[in-house]
Amino acid sequence: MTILPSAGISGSVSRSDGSDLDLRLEEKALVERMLAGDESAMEEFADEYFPGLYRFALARLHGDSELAREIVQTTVCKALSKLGTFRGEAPLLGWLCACCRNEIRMCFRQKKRQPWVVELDEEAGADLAAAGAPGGYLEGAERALERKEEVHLVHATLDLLPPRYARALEWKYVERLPVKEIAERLRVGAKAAESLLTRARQAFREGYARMSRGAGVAWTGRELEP
Amino acid sequence: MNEEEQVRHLLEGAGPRPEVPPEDLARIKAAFRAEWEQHLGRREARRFPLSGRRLWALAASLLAALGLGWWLWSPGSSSAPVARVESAAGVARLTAGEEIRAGAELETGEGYAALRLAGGPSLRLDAGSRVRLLSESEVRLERGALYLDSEGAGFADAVAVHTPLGVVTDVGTQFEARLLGEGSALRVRVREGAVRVDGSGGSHQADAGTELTLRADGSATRQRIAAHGPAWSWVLRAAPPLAVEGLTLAEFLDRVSRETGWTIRYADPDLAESARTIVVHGDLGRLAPDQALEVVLPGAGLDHQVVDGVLVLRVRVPN
Repeated sequence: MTILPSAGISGSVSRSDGSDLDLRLEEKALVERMLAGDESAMEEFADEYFPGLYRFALARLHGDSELAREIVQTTVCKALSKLGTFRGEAPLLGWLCACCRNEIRMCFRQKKRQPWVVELDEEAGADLAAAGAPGGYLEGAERALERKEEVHLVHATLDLLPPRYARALEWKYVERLPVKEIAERLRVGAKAAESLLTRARQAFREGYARMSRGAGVAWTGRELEP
Repeated sequence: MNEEEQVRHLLEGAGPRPEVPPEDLARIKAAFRAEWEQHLGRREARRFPLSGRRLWALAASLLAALGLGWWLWSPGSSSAPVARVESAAGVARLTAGEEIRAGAELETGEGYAALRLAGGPSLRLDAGSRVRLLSESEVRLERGALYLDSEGAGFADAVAVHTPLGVVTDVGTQFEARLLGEGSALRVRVREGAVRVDGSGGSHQADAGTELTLRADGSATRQRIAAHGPAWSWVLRAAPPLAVEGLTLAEFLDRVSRETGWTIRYADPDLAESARTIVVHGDLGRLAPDQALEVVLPGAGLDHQVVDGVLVLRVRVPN
């Protein structure tokens, strides 16, 4: 029989109204609880931050999922000894991404790897062309690439937001949940949920504007700055 | 476009973030857990070297934990598995490939899960949901929502979904059952086929394109609902990875149609014929079915457009 913890944010019922200061303090408290041996805090830390960190690494490793897994594994294990210095002054995921970036640089240096461009469209298109499909797939590949880049920027921006902001935005605008249900999932009142959504939108706009200025890493090999 | 509309436009256009492969996440987590335990052990050893009394206390608590753990993890160990996990994005202690036995309670928290019942149907769980798998053909929905796709005829037993307000039985269908307002109402949305809902006020049948809401007082209301659109987006998000290697383009499009609710229309009859002979190669990773179109179709020299739930395919005209 499989028993699961009672909530995805098990062990940490939030009593804050979701303000930025509250979020930073929550992250600091989460780290402290985990380092003190709280298993539910460890689970929460892994569930909240590992997916975003993985996507961060994957984008810089040109979709090499095996290498991304290795890098993220090394990053989080090494970060454990440094987490005692985390004071909540910066977003926790940003802190982890900085560690990850160092690991990636070391990996490239050790392996003397050069970035390459992987075009999913071209891979599929080559086989389709060989099978006698109509031509013109390269133009389609370029358009698809531009579209994918925009999607990637949006997703990367979400990943670098505090996880609660990113989830709230996806629930509201991707899944189109009513505010009442978002409030229930966040375990706050409706007004607090509205307030959090306002802050989340602001944070998203600022983050997306920054990302757009340095865009291009996922598909051309240039570094993306959060 | 005001600022909120800008954000809405970007997020709606991008869709949900791709899920991390559950097996990768599980391995990272396992390695981190081991490191964390070692980190605690080193720190504990520095602070409290183990004495004889502590060793006995530790052994006693370990035995107690093992006993408790054993009860928690295998009360139904003699029963055959009733389902297998296909994906479990963001769900703690649930990993792809894991077998689930009768009586198991599953809670998704903020993640999503996709299961394959032993009889064949696909069962997906929305975030914030809790279900108990009673058998391979009976599920109890205790909170949140589930989506069932019995993938047409061919299964011996219809699947029955038990809820506090009634039992929903599928008759070869795709449907969502959701408990609203902490269980004060049951809402069933049928995408394909039909379901029967047996509640305190009687039995109700709901066909494809129907949303049926059953309340605690036995009253029921109906309205029409489209088989496509944002109401079903969590179902796409919870879907297991789409394996396309070796599928014909037509088969790939059928899969997309099934997941999105879109109707496929070819602008040219010859194109419909070609689609049955073109074979797709590659790995789409965790791309959702609708996102997969952006990658596969250009490679086939096709353009596509979705209008009112109809996916129209045509050959691209070179500029």
